[in-house]
Amino acid sequence: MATAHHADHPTGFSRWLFTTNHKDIGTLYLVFAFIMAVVGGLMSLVIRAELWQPGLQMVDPHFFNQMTTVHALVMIFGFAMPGFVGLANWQIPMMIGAPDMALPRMNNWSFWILPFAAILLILGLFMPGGGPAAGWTLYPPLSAQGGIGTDFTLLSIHLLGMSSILGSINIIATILNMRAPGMTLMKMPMFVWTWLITAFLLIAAMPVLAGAVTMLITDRHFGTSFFDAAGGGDPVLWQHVFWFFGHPEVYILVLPAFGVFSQIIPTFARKTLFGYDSMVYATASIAFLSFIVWAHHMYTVGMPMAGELFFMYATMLIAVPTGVKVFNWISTMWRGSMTFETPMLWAIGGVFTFTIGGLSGLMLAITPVDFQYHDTYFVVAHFHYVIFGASVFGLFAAVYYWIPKWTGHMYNETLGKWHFWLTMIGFTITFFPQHFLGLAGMPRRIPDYALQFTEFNQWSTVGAFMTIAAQFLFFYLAIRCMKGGSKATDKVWEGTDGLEWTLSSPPPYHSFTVAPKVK
Amino acid sequence: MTEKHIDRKQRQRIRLTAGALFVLVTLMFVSAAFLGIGA
Repeated sequence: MATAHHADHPTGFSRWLFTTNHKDIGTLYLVFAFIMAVVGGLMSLVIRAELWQPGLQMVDPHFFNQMTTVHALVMIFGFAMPGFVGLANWQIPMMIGAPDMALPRMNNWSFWILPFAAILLILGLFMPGGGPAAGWTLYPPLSAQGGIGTDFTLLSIHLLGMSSILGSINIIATILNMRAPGMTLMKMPMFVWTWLITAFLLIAAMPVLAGAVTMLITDRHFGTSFFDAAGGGDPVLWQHVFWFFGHPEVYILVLPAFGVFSQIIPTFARKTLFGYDSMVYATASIAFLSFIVWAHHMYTVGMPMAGELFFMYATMLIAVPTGVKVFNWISTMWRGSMTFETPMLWAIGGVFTFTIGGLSGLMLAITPVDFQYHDTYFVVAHFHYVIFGASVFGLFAAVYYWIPKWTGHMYNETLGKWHFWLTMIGFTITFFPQHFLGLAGMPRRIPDYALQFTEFNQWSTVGAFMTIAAQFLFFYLAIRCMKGGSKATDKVWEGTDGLEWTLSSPPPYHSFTVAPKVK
Repeated sequence: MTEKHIDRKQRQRIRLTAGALFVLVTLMFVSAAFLGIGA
């Protein structure tokens, strides 16, 4: 009976609604993530169109603020995080030789919370008074004063957090309990390692955000004054609690991309990963340090000199394990038989852009320097280099790397390379000039600006439209790959190594019903 | 996936891991809330 049920593949809508299969859920996550990327991308075009020239021409300032806020929330919680959870769902069981995730029903629930959270987040924009306009950091008193759209957002954040927590518990339970015989922790692929550490970051950080959001809701509706100075509270408390979540969140977005780079670079350099052990320890060190640097986001609120020094030095310390990782990737490529297929281009591009974002991060870590750069476009440039440059590049790298395995078809290599180069050039035109805007003093989150900032803003707008236009190539490529194309081999790439490549392309609905042995 | 792919001992370990993680999540949530109340 169990076998008969096991062999049953539901079809149509019920297959997706009731699925407990890790591959189906992975696909759902990825499709959801890319739909949200389109929504967030369109919002970024509203922002950039308004900033094409000084003065107000397209939208009113309040709507502009809503766009900057919801664009960030959609991209972080709707695109980047679910995108990597999708990759984890598809890949982790196949990479550790497990038949599925450890808690498949909870896996279904983790995903199906997301569309409802996304609907709440978007619906908030259409409520009386509009959506949240306090920026994604939701600092009170602004966030305490917003209309009902802000409540929609806060509830949505609760749901998104729940989904992430459930997903993380599942990932940890899978990795710790379902590895194939012989696969010790130090034999796991780096993508699995980075996800194990990321899941612990999520477990520790998301409940803190939930605590902060709950306090904000009670301040708004139940008469408490956690963040209300008039009632004896302190708005700076929000900043401390929020950034205790917010800084690890950056690494939640970036570490799985590091895992992707660590899978792809050895494949196309045809060498084993240089310094595997040090990669694991560096990832763990980054995760630990991410919890003791939060106040570098808020130097300007004023804190004792000892606090400023501590957070400055602790932040700078992160450059050490990060440097180890970049060194290892470069050493893996050194004297390798390198080829530059699309996944490799995205991986190298990602390491390059992340390194620039890391360097501007070091500049921002220096307290007296941050007093100049705080809340300027320099910060916008910095975090887009980190989050777009590492996370989104990592996501694209992963999709190109594994889509032949998932679909059984090769993608169009020429179009893939066009997608990469157009995005890379568009991204650079968009975000590199923003460094100069910030250094010259242009504040972030404003719909208008002084005349001298016009030229760099116009570069930025042209780049943004170019970047978004390039993504049509990706959607065309991905859909064409799902529908057909030249057949992919089981191994797909010549230089690969790992359990997922021992399965057929596409893999069977239930992979590894008999656990493989790892030597 | 069905139960037959996972033995009982493994199932117990999975539940133990998930349970311990749920406790950790609750502790983190409560400590954030107490930080607010304490302040």
